[in-house]
Amino acid sequence: MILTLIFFIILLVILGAMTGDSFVFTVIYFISISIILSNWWLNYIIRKVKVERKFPSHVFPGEVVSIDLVAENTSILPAPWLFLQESVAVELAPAHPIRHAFNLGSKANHQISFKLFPHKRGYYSLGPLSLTSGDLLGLLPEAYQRFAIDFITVYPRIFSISNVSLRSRSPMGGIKNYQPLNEDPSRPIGKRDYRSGDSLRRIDWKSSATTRKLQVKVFEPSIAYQTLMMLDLNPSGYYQKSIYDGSELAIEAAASLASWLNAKKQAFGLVSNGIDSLTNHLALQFPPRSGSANLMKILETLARIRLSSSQSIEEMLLQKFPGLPSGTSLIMITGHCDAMLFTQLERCFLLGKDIVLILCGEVPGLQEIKRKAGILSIPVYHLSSNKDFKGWQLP
Amino acid sequence: MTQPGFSASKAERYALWVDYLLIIVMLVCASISMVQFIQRIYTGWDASYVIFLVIVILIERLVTFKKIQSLELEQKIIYHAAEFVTFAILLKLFGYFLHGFWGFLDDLSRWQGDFLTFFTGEYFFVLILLFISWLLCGKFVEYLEEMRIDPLDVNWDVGILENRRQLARSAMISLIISVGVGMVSASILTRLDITALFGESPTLQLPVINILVYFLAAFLFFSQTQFVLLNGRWMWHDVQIRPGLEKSWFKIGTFFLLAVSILSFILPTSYTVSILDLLRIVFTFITQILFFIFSLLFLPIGWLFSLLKGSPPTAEVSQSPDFTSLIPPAATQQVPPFLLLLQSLLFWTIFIGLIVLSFSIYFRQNKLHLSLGKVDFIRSVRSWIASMFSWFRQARISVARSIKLLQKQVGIRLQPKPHKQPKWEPFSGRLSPRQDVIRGFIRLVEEVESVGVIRKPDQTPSQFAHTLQKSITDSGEDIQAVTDTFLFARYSRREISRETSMEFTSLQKRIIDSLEKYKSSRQE
Repeated sequence: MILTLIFFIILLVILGAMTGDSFVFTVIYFISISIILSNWWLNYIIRKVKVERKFPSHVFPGEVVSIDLVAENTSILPAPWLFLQESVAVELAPAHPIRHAFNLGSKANHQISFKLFPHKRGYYSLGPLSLTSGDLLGLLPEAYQRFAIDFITVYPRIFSISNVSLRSRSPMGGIKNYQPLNEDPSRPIGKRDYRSGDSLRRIDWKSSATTRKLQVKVFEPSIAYQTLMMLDLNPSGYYQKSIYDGSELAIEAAASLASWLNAKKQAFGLVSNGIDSLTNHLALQFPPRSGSANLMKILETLARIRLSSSQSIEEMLLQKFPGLPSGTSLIMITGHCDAMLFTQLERCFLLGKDIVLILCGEVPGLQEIKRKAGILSIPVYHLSSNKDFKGWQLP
Repeated sequence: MTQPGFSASKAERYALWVDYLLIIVMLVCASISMVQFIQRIYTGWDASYVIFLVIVILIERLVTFKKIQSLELEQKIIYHAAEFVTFAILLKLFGYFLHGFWGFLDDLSRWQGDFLTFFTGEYFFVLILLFISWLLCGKFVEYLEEMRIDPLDVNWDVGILENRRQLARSAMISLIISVGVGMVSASILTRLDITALFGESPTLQLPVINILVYFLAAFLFFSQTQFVLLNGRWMWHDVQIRPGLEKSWFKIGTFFLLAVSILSFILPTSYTVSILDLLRIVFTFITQILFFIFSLLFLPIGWLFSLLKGSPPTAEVSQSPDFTSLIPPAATQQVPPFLLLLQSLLFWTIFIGLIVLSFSIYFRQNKLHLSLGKVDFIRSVRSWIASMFSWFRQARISVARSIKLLQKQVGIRLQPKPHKQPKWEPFSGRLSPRQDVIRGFIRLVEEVESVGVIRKPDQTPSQFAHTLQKSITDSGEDIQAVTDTFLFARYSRREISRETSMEFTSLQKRIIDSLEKYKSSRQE
C-alpha cells in the first residue's frame, strides 16, 4: 500500500514539476506528511507505553492469584490502539486467553486484571508480554514491544501434622520431654527442699529466705529436634508406576515436615539429589537451622525442585553423613529401600543417629522393608496418597 | 469490556454510515473535477445540477446494494438493466424539467425518425458520469462488504478470510489512488493553457478545494477500514476490546488528518527560483561569507606586511558580501527580494526533504538496504574493499615488524621513543613469554565477561572460544589463534618465543577492539 502511495507521490512530483501548479504540491505535502507523521507517531508511542505487572510472587496451590497489568502511556500523544497479549504457563490454567485491545489517552493508564488458578507446585513464568501498535491509516507495518518475563513460585502443598514420632538425643531444646534425663535450666517448673548432693547453684535464695529452709529450683527436661530431611528425587528410587506421584508425595511430605518443625521452633534442614529448575544444578543444601526464613527458603527450593538421575540417595547419604552434627535426627524420604540403602542406614544407626524412614508412592515389598527397619528400630511411614497424611494428625 | 464475538451493535452501524458518507464525499469531489474539465472544453455550461444527480445516484446505489446481493446472477443483470433504463429516462425528464418541457414534443418526433438523437452531448456526458459514479460506488461497497465481519465467519479458516479482507482493502486503496490520479490530471488539464488541445477557450482557474477534500476523505476512509480490519482480526482471536475504542479511533483519525491538512495548506507551494539557481545562490552566499571571514582574520597580518613595505597601510576593509546581487532580477517590487529567496529556499528544502523522508521510510520498512547487500555486484565490491583494507593492515604490520627487526640488528633508533609515564602493572617486564601469554588470556576472558559472555567453570578454553566466536563473529580466526597459543603455552613444555608472545598480544588487542564494537552495538 505504501508503495502505491510512493508511486503516486512520484507521479505528482512529475506533474507538479511540469506544470508548477500549487495544489499539486499541497497534495504531495498532505500524503508525505501523513506517512512521515504516522511513522514517527507509531515509533514514539511504542517506546513510551510501559506495562507493569502486579502479582504475588509466591503462592500456595489452590489459591486464586489475581494479576493486574497496568499499561501507562507516558507520552503527551494519545495511543490510537494497542494490542496486549500475555503468555501464561499452561499449568497455571487461566480462564481465557489474555488478549486485550484498547486505546490510551495522553498520560493515561489502563488496568487489565485476570485470575490464575495454580493447582500444582512449580516455578512458572509469566510472559513474555507483547504490546503491538500500528498507525491509524494502516499504511505502515505494526510495531512491537516485548516486556520482561516474571516468575511466580507455587509452593508445594503443606498438610498439617501434629503427631510425628521423632526421637531426639539432643540434651537441650524447646520441646517438653517426659524423660527426666536432661534438665533445661531455662525451664523452671517449681521448687523443692534442698537434699544432700544438690548443686549450690540451684538454690533459690529468695524462696529459701521466705521459707527459712533451703529451697532448690526444679527444671523441666527438654529435648531439641535437630532434623535433617533427605529427599530422594532420583527416579530409580521410586517404583516405575509411581515415579511422579511418589516423588510429588515425597516433596509434599518434606514441605509438611518442615512446616511442622518450624511451628515447633526446631532446627531443620534439607538435602536432596533433585535439580533446581532455576539453576539447572543440584538443589541447594540446607543445613539444620531454625526460623521461618529457613522454612521459606526450603519451601521455595521444594517448589522448583524436580527429578534428576545425577546422584543416588545412597551416594548422597554417604556424602552428607560425616558432616551431620551430633543429636541430629535423619528423616529419609524416598520411594524404596533396598539392601544398599539399608546398609547405609544401619551404619548411621550404629553411629547413634536416629532415623525415620518415609516411603512414598507404591512400594513393592513394603512389609519386608518394615521388618528390616524394625530390626534397626527405624520407624517406617508409608504415604501412598495425600489421605495418608491424616495418620500424622492427632485425633 | 466488549465480549468477544460479533454483535450488530449501534457502533458498527454508525461506523458503516460514516464509511458510506465518506464514499459519497470522495465520489462527489471526483465528479466536480470531471465537470470542471468538461466546462473547460464547453465554456459556459451550467453543470451545477450534475453534482445533485451524482449524490442521488450514490445514495440509491448504497441503499439498494444489499437488497440485490441476495439475487441470482441473471436476476441481478435484469435488475441492473432495468435500473439503467429507468435512470436514463429519469435523467432525460430531469433535463426537460431544467430547460423547459416545450422541447419535449419536438424531440419526440425527432426520436421517431432517428433514435440516436435521444443522446445529446450533454445528456451523454452526464449519463456516463453517473454510470461511472454508480460503478465506483458499487465497487467500494463490495469491498466494504468483503471486509465486514459476519458472525458465521468464525467457522471459517481465519487465515483465508484475513487474506481476503487484506486484499479487499488493498484493492480499495488502489482504486482510490487511481481516482485521485484521474482527478489531479483533470484539474491540471483544466488549468493548463494548451491551444492545441483546447483551442482558443480560456483556462479556468477554478477552486481545487475538492481535490484536497477528496484526499482528506480518502485518508479518513483508510483509517476507518483499517479499524474494520483490526476489529475482525480481534474478533477471531477472542480479544477483549475496550468499549469506546471505535469512537476514539474516529476522533483521533479526524483530528490527525485535519492537522495534516492545515499543515499542508501552510507550507509554501510556489517558488520563483528553480532548484539549480537556488543552489548556485546558496553556494555563492556561503563562499562570500567565508571570504569575508578570511579577509577579516588576515587583516592584521596584511597591515604588518604593509608596514614592512614602507608605505602607509591602506585600510582595506573587506567588503561585506553583497547579497542583493544574488537575488534574481525577476523579483517583484511588491515582495522584498530577500523574502522571495527565503520562500524559495524554504519551499525546496521542505519539498525535497519530505520526498526523501518518504522514500527512506519506504526503504527501511521493506529492508531494501539489506536486499541491496545481497546483490552480487555490490557484494563483490564490498568484499573487494574489505580485502583491500585487510591487505593494507597486514602490510602495515609487516613493515612495522621489519623496521623493528632492522632496529634490533643495526642498533639504530629511527625515531625517538615518545616519553610516556609507565603504567604500573603487576609483574610487568618480569614475566616470561609463556607467562605473558597465560596472563594475557586470563585478562581477555575478564574483558569478555564484562560484555556478558561469561565462561562457565566447566568450560575448556576451546569450548569457550567456540562460544566467543558466536558472539564476536568478525574475529573468529583471531579468537582461534589466541586460544591455540594459550593452550600451547599452558600445557606444552616447548619454548615460547618473545615473537609469539608479541603476536599473541596484538591478536588480543584486536579482539578487545572488536569487543568494544560489539559492546557499543549491543548498547544501541
